[in-house]
Amino acid sequence: MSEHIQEWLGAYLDGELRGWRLQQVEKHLAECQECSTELAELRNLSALLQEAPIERDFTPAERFAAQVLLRLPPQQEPSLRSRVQKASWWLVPATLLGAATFAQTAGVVSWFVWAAGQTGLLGAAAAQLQDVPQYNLWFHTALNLFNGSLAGAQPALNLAESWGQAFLGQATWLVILAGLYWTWLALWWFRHQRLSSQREIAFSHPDQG
Amino acid sequence: MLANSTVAETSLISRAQRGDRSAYGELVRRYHAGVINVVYRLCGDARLAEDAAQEAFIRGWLHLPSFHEQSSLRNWLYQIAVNAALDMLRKEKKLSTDALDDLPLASHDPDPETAVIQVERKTQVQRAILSLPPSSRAVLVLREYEGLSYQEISGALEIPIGTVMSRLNFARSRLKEILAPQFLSMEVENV
Repeated sequence: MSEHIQEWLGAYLDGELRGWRLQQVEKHLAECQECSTELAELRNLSALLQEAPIERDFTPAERFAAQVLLRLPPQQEPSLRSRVQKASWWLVPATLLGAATFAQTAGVVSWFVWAAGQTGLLGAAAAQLQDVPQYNLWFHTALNLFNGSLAGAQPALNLAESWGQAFLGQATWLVILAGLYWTWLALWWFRHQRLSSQREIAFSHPDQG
Repeated sequence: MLANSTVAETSLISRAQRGDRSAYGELVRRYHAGVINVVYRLCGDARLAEDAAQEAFIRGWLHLPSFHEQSSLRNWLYQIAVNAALDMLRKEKKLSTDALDDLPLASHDPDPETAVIQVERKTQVQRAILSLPPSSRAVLVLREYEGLSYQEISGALEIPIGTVMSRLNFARSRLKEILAPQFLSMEVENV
């Protein structure tokens, strides 16, 4: 026989077990007299608790509500924290989308400026815009090793290298932003699901009529 | 029907959040019974329970602008009610076994012997509940008398679901110890 499952009996009685845990408890109960007796006792305890309804004469709801209304002070403004929390549900995706758009635009514009410089369209301004960034030094050093033999192909290679750098930079940013965006979306969805299920249960509760 | 009541409730909450007192009054009437039930089970004293319930609804009004409409108002109010009841008990420095004098002595049963047994049972049960630590008592009351799921209790009391389960197990095993000699063993024989 498997180990006793007393710790799960309360949750079983309350209908809170699912999947393999539920199967485990049911299988064990079918073969264990001790746990079955324990479950019966829990059922009886629950029935006994229900047998003790409130029989006090409380103030009727109408009068109680009137008393509460008389005591109500002016309402407080939402706290800064709650306002920030509320706003963050649309600020986060808006910021991420803005950042993604900015990264995308900046990448495309940079590449066009560089390409224009390479083809001489920018004239004197090209010299300032074409400073080689530090991360490109290895590429230019490698090109210098083949000085002469690759001279003819250098503009095309520079263009390809620049495109590669721009693409990789942009792709990295977009992957990070997309990851953050999906994380936010998952959080929002889980929160929405949890609150919806709570709301449905709340409204189907017998006490609410 | 369910959808209509949901819409009506959402509208009442929105109006109350904008400061409409009559809308809040309607919400108070709706949740009065549930909130009173919870705080009375926690306090065991009718006067304290009414005070705690009033305090809970006033706190609810003050914090209503921060309430998220997607949440359950009932669970949110229960959370406030549990805190108000525990605060009230601390303030009164009256652990509720003192309040047992306040328990109902009358019964509707015409047979005097049965009536005495029923009153005795109710007193024993209420005494046993009040002997629990407040944290376990709150979980037990929300589960047994209000029928909240573990997830709802977890949300209302802001504790993990595992803690809900362990507190409930503790409460039930304590109640079994206290009540078993008189009632539970007898009833198991009848099952």
